[in-house]
Amino acid sequence: MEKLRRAKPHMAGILAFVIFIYGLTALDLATGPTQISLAERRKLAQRPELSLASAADGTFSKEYSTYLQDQIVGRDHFRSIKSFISRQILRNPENNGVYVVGDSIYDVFYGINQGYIDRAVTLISAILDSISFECDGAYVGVIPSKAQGLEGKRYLLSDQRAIADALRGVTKASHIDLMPLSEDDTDELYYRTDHHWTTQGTIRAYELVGRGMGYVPIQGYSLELGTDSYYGNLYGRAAMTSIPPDSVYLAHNEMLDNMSVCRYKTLDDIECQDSIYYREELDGLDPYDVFIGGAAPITVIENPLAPAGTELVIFKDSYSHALAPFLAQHFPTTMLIDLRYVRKELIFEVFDLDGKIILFLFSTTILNTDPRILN
Amino acid sequence: MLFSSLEFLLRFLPATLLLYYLAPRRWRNGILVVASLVFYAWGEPFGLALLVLSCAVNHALGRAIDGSRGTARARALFILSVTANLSFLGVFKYADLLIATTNELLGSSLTLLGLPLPVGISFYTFKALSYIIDVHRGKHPAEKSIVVFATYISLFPSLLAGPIDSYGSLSAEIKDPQSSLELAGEGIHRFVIGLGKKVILADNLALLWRWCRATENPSVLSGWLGIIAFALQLYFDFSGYSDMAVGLGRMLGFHLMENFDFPYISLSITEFWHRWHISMGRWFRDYLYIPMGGNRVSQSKWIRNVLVVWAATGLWHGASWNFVAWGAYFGVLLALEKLWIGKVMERLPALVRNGYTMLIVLVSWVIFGLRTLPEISSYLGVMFGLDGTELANTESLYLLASNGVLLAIGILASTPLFSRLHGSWSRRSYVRTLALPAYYLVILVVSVAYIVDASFNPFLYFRF
Repeated sequence: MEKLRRAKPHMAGILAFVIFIYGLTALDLATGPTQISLAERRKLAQRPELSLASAADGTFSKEYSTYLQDQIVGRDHFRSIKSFISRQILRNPENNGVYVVGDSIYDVFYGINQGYIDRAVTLISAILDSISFECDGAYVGVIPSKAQGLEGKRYLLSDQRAIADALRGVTKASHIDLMPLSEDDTDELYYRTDHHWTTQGTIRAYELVGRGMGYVPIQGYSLELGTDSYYGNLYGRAAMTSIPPDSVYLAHNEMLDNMSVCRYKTLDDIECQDSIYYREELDGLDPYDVFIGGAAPITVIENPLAPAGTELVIFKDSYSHALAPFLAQHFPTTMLIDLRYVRKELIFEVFDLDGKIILFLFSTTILNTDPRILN
Repeated sequence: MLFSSLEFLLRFLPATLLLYYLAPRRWRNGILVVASLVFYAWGEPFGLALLVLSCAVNHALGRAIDGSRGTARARALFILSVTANLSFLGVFKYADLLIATTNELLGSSLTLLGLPLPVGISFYTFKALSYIIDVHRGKHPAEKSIVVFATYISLFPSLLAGPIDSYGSLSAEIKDPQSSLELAGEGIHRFVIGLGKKVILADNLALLWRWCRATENPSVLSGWLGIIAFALQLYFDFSGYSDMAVGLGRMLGFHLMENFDFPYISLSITEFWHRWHISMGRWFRDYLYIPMGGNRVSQSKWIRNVLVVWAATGLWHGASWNFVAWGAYFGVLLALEKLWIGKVMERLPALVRNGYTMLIVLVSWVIFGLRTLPEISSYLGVMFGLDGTELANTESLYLLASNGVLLAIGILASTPLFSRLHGSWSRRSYVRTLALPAYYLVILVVSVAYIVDASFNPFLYFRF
């Protein structure tokens, strides 16, 4: 009786703890593992195999820990709670490397990696040195990340113009100024939940690039709603369920609708289709891959309605997946090369780039953070 | 296994508590030993054999010393035991420091052993040493049961980062575990508070410190923000772990010793070390300082004792010379405080004395947190505005604004304020039945949310 009397004041606390620990454990055990997280756009870790070797070297415990983190019941809700506490209670505007402003998510862009930028200048110059091209046949464009649009607000940002200015060190090319993109309404030009540009933003970029290259941009497109439930990769990092999805629009005109795309996974493994849109990707992990099928080492767009002339070669990142078809309206053949997935030496062995129009188009984020383009 | 991991919270803890409470009392020590070995092996499979070996060898040597008490054999066995334990620690923790230093001083090219450092080795070896010394001193007899002894050495709540309890203080509870709902309730309170300190405060403060120490745009403000964040991180990380250890101990029926007592409110360095990592300080006092003569010797010998003890304390924290320098820094300051500064400080207001203490402690954390002399001097230069470092810049003002709430909570939580509020409010029934359980649930939910969203973030003190 004495024990019970002394325990009484603690009973509610004990009950709360027991309900939480055992309740969550039971729920977690009762819920089967899932394969993918739609919110985070990634495959989730699966239960690791237990073996004597994996237990002895510690890999089982590490993988099991990741598995539990990935598969915990209510993972998305827990991540939302963390995001809420971080932003609303601790008043830290940044969570997992993103800022949330209204309904838009911005990846943090702070710190210029001068070493990477300098190496990019060297790499681009080296590529241009090994190609014979016409005067005014090479161009460099730097795509500002959406965060440049937050300039002047209370966020910690680096001025991405510094990267565009540094790329002017490539003296053999003409430079296209894409910074006006960040001066317009970024909410319309970029997806709210992703770092890429919207179809409207793509058309604006096409106008800037086209004018920079001396072409009169083609106007007038009909827009088809591809999906109205697109959550980009910034959404997963922000972990805020209250943000509504984006819509992805597919642009059409006669030329765009007659283009075909060939994707080179390797030199022998080539997939072609008679459309620039890979519609099945709209239901996949990354609906942005609807544009020319997403990343591939080499992609070739054929435009049978283009006026005869030279070809366009774009050294690019994923922003060009949406943009390239618009530029391809001016060329019978447009080749996209992704230096993150293919060695430049291999390209020169297989493809003759002499005499072609060369465009280097990279986002500030890739130039600043992804050393793979410098291979 | 980390206390602040899902495998602990949602697998190990519920299973262990269930088994422990449902099992007959005579099985409890066996369950605890097996659970502790699983707990240890989970994160450190290769170290398990060393832990088992340490238990077996120290148990056997303790019995042998006890069995030949008062003879030359007992003394020889005692020296063998102490040497074996120190060698054990020396090989795994300090051998590479010794080799690297030898290579640097003599220009030799001896190969480093490259042995992995088993987690918690300093803690369980010090427990074993205290047991052997106490048996030799006749403070208590050697433990006959290997299960009881293994429970003491490997007890999972304190296995990886203390507290370093003596065998004498725990043996009665280990032999006859007295769990109760009252103890469990107290334990849950401590565990939940400790979890929140580690996951919500320490891990977030760590991000601020990491930023400030690596920034390419340092300012005086970022220097101070960083070191204050690190000071709070260290406190919440380690005291949070100790709270969880004490809490888990109580859930299982043990009273582990307190390790922290709000060190940042101290008015002197001497007081600070009575409030910070209390079990380690007590170990060095009882098993090194006092055997060397303590303060009952001439002033010069006393100064020698203080410096030796504090250099050893520094070295205990890590196999790196910056830790020795950190320990020696405190040794010198403690000696100065006792001889001179303390007498001056006594006459000053409490705020000034706390300011003096915190200044010395913060500078010490720079030595503790940065490994090389150039890093340490550069960071101190930034903090004190040397070499034309600007007072503040856009970056440091942003860091202050975005971490201001966290720092404010951290500073308040490092004082006895919340503890006193709990003490005065928890007697009210609505607080006990509604507010406290809700508070526990909020901390548990938010902690799990942070764990789910975080990457691997181990406790700082595991490697000490």
